[in-house]
Amino acid sequence: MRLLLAALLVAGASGAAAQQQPFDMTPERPPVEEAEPLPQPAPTEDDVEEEPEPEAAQPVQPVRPTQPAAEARRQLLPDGNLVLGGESASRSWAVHLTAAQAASAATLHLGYQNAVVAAPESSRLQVFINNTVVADQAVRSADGVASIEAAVPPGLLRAGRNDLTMRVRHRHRTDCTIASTYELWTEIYAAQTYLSFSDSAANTFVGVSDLRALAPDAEGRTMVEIVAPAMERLDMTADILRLAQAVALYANQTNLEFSIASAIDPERRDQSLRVLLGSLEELQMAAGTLPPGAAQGSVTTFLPRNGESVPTLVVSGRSREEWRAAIDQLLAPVDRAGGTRREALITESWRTPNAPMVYEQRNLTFAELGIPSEQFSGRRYMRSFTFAIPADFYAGSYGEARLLLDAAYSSAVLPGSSINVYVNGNIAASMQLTERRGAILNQMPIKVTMRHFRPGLNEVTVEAELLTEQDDACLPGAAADETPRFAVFDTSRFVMPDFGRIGQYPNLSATAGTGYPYGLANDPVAIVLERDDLAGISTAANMLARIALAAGRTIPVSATTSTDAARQQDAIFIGAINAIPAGVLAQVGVNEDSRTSWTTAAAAPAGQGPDQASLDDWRRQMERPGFGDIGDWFSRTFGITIDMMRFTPTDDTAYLPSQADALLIAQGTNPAGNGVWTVIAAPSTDQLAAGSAGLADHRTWGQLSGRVTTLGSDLRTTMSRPVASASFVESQPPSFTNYRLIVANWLSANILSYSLLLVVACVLLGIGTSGLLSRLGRRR
Amino acid sequence: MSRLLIVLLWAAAAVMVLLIVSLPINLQTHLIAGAVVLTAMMTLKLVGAGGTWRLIALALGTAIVMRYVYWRTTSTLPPVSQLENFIPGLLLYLAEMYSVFMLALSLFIVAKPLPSRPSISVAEEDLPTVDVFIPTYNEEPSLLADTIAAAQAMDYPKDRFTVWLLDDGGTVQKRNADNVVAAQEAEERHAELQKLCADLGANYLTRERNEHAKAGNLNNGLAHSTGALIAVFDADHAPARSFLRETVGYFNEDPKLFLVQTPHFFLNPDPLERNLRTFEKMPSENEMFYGIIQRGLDKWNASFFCGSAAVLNRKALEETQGFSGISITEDCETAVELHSRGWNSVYVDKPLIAGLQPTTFASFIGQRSRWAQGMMQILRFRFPPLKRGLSLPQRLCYMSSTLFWLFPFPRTIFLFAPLFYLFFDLQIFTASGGEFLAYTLSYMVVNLMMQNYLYGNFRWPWISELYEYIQSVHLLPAVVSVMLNPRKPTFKVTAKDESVSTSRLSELSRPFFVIFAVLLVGVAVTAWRVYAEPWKADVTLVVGGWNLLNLILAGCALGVVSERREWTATRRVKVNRRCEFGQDGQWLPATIEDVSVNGARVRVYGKNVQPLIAQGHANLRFIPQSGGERAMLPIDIRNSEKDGEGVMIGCRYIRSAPEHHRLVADLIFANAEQWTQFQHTRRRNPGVLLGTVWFLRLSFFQTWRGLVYFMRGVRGSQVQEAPLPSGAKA
Repeated sequence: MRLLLAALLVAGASGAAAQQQPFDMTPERPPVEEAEPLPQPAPTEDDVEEEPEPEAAQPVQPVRPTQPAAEARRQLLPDGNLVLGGESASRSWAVHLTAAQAASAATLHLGYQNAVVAAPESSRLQVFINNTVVADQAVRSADGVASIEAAVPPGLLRAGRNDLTMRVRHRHRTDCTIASTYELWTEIYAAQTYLSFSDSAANTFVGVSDLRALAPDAEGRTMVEIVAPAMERLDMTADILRLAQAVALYANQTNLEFSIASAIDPERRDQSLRVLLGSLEELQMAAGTLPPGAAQGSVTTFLPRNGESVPTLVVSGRSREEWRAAIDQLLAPVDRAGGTRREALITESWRTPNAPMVYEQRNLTFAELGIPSEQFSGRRYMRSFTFAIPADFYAGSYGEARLLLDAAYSSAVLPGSSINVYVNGNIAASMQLTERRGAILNQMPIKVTMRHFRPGLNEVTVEAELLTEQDDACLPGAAADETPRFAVFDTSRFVMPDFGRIGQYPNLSATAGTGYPYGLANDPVAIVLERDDLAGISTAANMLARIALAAGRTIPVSATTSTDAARQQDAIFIGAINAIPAGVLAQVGVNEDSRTSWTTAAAAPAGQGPDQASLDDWRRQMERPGFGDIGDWFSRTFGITIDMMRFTPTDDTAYLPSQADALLIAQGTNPAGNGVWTVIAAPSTDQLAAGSAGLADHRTWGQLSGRVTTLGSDLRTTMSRPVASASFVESQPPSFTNYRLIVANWLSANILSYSLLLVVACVLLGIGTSGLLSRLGRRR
Repeated sequence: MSRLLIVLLWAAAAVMVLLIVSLPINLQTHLIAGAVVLTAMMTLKLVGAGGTWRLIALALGTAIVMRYVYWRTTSTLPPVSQLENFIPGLLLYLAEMYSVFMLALSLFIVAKPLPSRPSISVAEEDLPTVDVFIPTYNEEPSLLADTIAAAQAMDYPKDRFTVWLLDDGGTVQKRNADNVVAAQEAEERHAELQKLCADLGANYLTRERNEHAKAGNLNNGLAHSTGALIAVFDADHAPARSFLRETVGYFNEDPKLFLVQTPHFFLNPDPLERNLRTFEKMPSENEMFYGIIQRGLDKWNASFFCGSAAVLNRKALEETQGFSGISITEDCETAVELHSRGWNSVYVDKPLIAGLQPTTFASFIGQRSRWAQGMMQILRFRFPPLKRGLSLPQRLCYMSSTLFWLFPFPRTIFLFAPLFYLFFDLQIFTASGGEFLAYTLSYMVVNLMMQNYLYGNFRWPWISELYEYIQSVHLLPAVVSVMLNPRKPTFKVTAKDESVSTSRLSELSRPFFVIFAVLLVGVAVTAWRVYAEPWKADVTLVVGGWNLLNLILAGCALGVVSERREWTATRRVKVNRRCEFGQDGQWLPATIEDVSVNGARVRVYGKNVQPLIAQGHANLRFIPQSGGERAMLPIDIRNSEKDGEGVMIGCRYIRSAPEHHRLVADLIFANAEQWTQFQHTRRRNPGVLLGTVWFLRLSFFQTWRGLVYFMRGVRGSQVQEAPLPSGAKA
């Protein structure tokens, strides 16, 4: 049947009549969408102001931050500059706007630059707002940053959530190889990409819900300053951390960075938001005028906007009880009760759709995952989707998910082409396209190992590498040929089977992914830090904001300075390495010597870097195991290495941070064995403050894993120590099927134990059979 | 109580193994576990551990087989959405599951076979009366004479047993046949056999009509006799002297005993043994059945009647109105029926008869078709798994015996499955090359090891596969036809006295050459595809390897269907017995070195040998083992040669009087020990590795021999056809 269809496909592709839709399938399929699938054509396409074409390639003057004052701006890129690479790339995310912003006439500004090798005549950049094309132009700015200005059609913007999509299509000028597709890129500059509103007051926040419209700055950071004038007198740490989490849940931004201060620094202007916390009296002293009506009781409101000043939220009351109640009021609409399930992990501020949570066996179609049906005429097709799994995921060693792919490729595609699947950047599956005559893949299963799955957000990338004779020849213009070669249909499915679930201590990736186990807490989590340690509190605020976002709810906290209070519970220790209480480091598997050896004085000495040559390394690299090619083939085919041959996990030695590390996050069980301690430490308080900013970056946060993760001095590179032996914590109601999967995973990680268990069971069975046979049937 | 406890413990261990085996572990863990289990099994086998260790080794093997089943079931079936892959994929899967199921049944049956039973001596006065039935249809009178003589010579009080020749070739119906020639022959046969029986002291019995074939014939015998026990011998199965002494005792022990079965021992090779020249060194095909499976069945009181070489209880047969005749395998059918009525059976693991088996490939296939069709009929009409009255073990045992004959289906599927991929590019087994290797290879090696553990001494590696393959080609249509028309097959007597006088291809050989050619094309396609489609070379190589294995089997089968010219019709049995050689008062001392059904080799001592030899004929004089007077057997001298102190003479018996048959029978059949000894010389286990190497060499040689015969056949037919045109011209 497949052969027949493929033959039809070939016949169809060569017939002119069928050229429009060579991948037309059986009637039950939804019609194939064209490469530009978004349904609503822009009603006001004429309004799009394109730059005069001849000048397009001219470098455009950098857009200065100060433009005519009558204009309000809203930066659009959530995570700094955005690079869209490859032949076809697209990013979507949600942008929240205030009512005033939505009502105002708006213009889209976009600054970009592209690779020299991208052919302008066949490369395009498109911007969609709420599925309407707002800008659509050739990519033709290789020499410098070009800016695009396009009026947003009136009525298109909505108060609240708006969808934004940026899509590029690139073709190489001269080359037709797959390798060449990696040279294609367009970079969109965050600073020059924004909406400008004619209403200069559009950015004024009116109500608390406008917190959602908080925008990142040109670097993609969202800085929030919490000012609590009374914190020097009172112990307000727990309240501040609670407030930080509340703000985070409103402004679910990619890189939220908190700083805590006891006084307003009028010089500072880089914050996106300032929050004042304290009693009316204190705040009046600190900030001067307060809004009218603030004297009535609990209050959460914005200060009237004063020119270019930072939006300022006041959380206050007449007494401590009242401003605490104000925090509660602020939280009420966004918080989630502990123990309730989430449908999705919210990622919309940098990526839509939100990642669906997969708790057990689940089928997700590409349509649900945001990959539309589309056909493709290039060489390297790439699309990715995200999903999220709970923190007690325990199937990394044995599990296999499946992609059931509905796709097709034409007869032009040569055998040897392949479809590869990547999980979180690691290759997880590869399937050869072997038909010479093209084929229609109907729910073709591709097994995807779960080895690279991690708690929380996961990204799966499907990539098709398509080889054709046409590309081998690469005649002029061949790269731009529009004949589709490959199609993916949105009926394809990602199938997650039931997987083992049990909580593991320590597991930093679970903490990073879903805030585990803190995100489940109903009793306050102890935050242990030195008093008046502003860097410590800022770090705690960053950390808890991240955990709250990962967990989708606020974590109750109590601040303390003593270890004793935390012995029986989940706790987070923050401070300079010297300030971490005695005994805690050992508990989380960090060498106590680090208190002395890991100091600020010794800044990364030369020779410790990765470039240092080591004879041993070279020897290791040069020497092949005695098996030679056979051994190679064996380990390649079966993926067996010597360190996998073990009965039980080996104990790990205490970790000693190196001088190159700027920040250390380590996790272990508490002394009572019933909770988790996490330590965040730096050589000094200053470095803690710097490192804390690094931690606020969502990419860095996503790198947390194992039992220890360190952040290098560039605040970008991370190093992790894997968990050697974890303690297990029951996270699900006892069930046979779950235990079975848990045991399967443990045994798959401790291979020899399985063999031992099997042999022992067989010996017992043999003895039992022998006993049985000597009693049953005839004996002589 | 302790029995319940041990059942519970066993069940717990079994559940534990099942749980461990069905864990969805990753490939690496399976691979290491497979290697560990294999190592353990090899070690146990090398140190020759028996008893409980043997069962532990089998448990280990079972675990790997179950892991394979788990993996095969959960991750290798093609998606249903691709029907063109799914249907053949499912067929292959079912074939494999059938094999695994049969392995499980075999494991149950032969997990702990009963040891050989000790002889039971019965007081002379307690010996029951026995009727010995020798049913015949078309066998030569001289062959029957040997059998009757051997039966008469059995060591048993003369007044307690009667030998009956039940002749179905001389029935009234036959004698009055419309075909005058046939009727004439039947009449002659009737008269000749009547005389033979009278001479040898046996009773001749025939009947009106040939109804219900062999079962009807036996029932006719039952109706005309009165002995408490019935011994049944096929016309070509001559009993040893000790036959009744070794068997009747069990009936005194157990009043509910209906059957004592003994093995069938053959003096001549079957076509495979003859054409592959393995008769002298490799255990015969049926030795696996009689050497171990029947002992295993005996443990579960499920040893069944095999048509001959058995003693049955008249009382039991009366309960079922004699032998059942719905199917064409009345023997097994009768046993099922009686087992279900609470009667018991016993198997005596000692060859007590010697007989002949089909010589040519065609008659071999004819015999197997009857067995296969008969077993299918039993499955259809009696359905042992659900037959009331059978114990659970008996049901399993009969299930194994009947379902075994479905093997042509899986064998055919295994043969053609790789071609689906090689020729049509269908993916009927979804796995990567690595997975396929890790799971399938460990399964196959473990399977071979288990077979070797179970049957090592009785069946060499790959021989079962070869036997299955050579039968499947012709049995498949036979089994299909009996499934479609369960009442159609009729009893056909297997010819066993043919001989092959010229080397030739069997008349049934053509399909084997066609299959060989197709598989050979498969190998060529493999090579081409590895070269032309390097991107899927791993899968192609794995599938091509499978096809190559089939080709090796098919090549070996070419040798089986290339019939060798026969040098000796039957096997010579070493006897080493004192006698005298001479004539008319001139007697020289001599020893009989070995004997066959037709002649003997005699070493004569003394000076005046040459004149006697020159005469061309002489006599052998010896005391029969049955006692009595020194008796004389006339011989023709065929050849002679000087041999040390004496002269070795090859001679041929001249059986001119009934007495001579008795003497020949005495020489060949009297002593059962010699058969046991012969069997034991063949029972050695070469091991999986050496056995495989041996088989490969055998296969290469036989492929070559088969092709040579084929070429010769082609040339031969050209030579024959060549004169025709010229003749037409003339």
